[in-house]
Amino acid sequence: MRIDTLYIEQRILKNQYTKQVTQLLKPKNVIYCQSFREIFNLKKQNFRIQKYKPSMILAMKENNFLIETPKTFNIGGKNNYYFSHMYNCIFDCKYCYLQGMFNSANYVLFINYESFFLEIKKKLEEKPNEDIYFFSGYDCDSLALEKITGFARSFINFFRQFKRGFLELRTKSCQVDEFLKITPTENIIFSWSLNPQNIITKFEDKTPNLEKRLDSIFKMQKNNWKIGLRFDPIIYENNFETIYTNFFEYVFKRLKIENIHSVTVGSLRLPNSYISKFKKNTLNQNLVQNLDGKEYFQNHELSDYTKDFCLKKISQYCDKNIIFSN
Amino acid sequence: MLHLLIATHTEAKPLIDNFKLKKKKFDEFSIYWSKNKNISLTITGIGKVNSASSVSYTASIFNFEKNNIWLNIGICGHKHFKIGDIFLVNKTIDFASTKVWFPSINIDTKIKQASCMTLDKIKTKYENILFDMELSGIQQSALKFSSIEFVHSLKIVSDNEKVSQRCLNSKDIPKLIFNRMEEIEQFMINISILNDKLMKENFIMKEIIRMIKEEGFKKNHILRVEYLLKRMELYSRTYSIKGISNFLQKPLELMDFLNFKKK
Repeated sequence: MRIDTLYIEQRILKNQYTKQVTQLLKPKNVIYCQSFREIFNLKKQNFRIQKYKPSMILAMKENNFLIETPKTFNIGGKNNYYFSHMYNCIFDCKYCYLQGMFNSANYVLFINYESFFLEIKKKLEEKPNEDIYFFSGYDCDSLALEKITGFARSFINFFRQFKRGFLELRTKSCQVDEFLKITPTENIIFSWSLNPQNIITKFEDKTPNLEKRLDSIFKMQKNNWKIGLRFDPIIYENNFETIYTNFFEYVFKRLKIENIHSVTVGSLRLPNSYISKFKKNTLNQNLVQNLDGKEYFQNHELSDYTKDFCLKKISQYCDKNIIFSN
Repeated sequence: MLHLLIATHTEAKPLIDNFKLKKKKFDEFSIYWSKNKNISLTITGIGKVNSASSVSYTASIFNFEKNNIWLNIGICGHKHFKIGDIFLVNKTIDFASTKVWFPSINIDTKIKQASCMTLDKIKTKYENILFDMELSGIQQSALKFSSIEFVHSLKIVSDNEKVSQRCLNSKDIPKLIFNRMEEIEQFMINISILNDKLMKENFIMKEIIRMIKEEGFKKNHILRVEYLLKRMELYSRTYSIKGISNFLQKPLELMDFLNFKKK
């Protein structure tokens, strides 16, 4: 992946990390700005067009480091927060809600990891006797740009000191070689979003295929990392039942069940407030359905059916205690 | 559609000649366009108020069509950049208001990039930034009608610390633009190809691309054919599926056929 243009906030020009990322990226053009918002939040820009050649913005995050996840979203813990060291993703999934959320497809990389660390530490101190789960990979892919960002390596090192703090790194990427060289730790969960290959081909542009993702998981399992399987989003298509039945059978045959930390199932979903922007930006209008004059990302009844179907199938392969519906 | 915005007639002349643009009768601004109306050219006049008004005026002539390409081409000053060098502007600053725009460059281009500051009056002290007098007006106004990916400016250095603008005569300015026609043409083609992805589909071109893909053309040949077809459009040349189908087994001959020589 080639990024030609790098925008940098003036205030972080001298930051060591800024210099490091710039050296790794070797952009043709470096442009200085006051705030990433000058570029990222502009209304008159087109997410879809920018996706052809996105730029990167190095910025400093100032607030809202940790956000509580929706109540139903968990992998067994009571306290759940997500955070984003980056906005936008190098992949181009047609269903991705980022195209309904952001005006720009440029990547914003927040370089002040220490500020995230402080907030995480604070949160753990606020609840001294409880486990807390921290999720990464909501607004970006956790590993896809690892060679440039070093994000996962830094956060894994930080989390090693906390037994009560769990970190989920969600990804579709195969950038795992770095982690095969380091000692695994119980409180880090590498989680892969998985779908049948025909769904990947149809909806998950620029992502590694199923086989490559399973290879990466297998390697990580072999090195004793905790693994999460995220069957999310489940997409209803013709022959849904057969496709997903064969898919689950194949996945659970390929992987070691005992090393799986958790399995989640999620349907295709999008907040109502994102729908109009999503419709403008997506090329696949069929993903948004119109029912009774109201628009839904996918029909609720269908979502319930697909989720229930998958939960039932998955429970044939692993312990119900590690299966969660999101 | 691609709208060229040029401050003076002297700067516009080589572009009018190159794309064979015809003058249309409007009192307020001089506007030219090509035979197939793929390109328009407006003489904006000097200064950002003029340039901003000319954008709105041009938009009104073309029924306020959304997401067209707005391309400013013109001369500029810089402290030490070489006379005749061309730059694609990646940051526009309005000196008076300190307002800043960051044009989004989403195509591959070999043209070097630089920031440009729009001044209200000529400055005699040069700095390490391009200077002009129109761009911020164009940027602000064109964004009412289009998206930041399609509002751009190509600047050609006409003066610097060593060579003052006063040294230029009336023949020098058209020559500066003329000498950069190849880069200008390439930029116009590539930005038009990107714009096609957003605007209404060109069915003939789409069909031709489908046909050559099916014939097993290599990826770089497909991209080249797309480029050359777009070039033909910009020069108001016509092409047909029938004409192209004679070359389906011969990629190199097809490219040669499409790559017409300008007179």
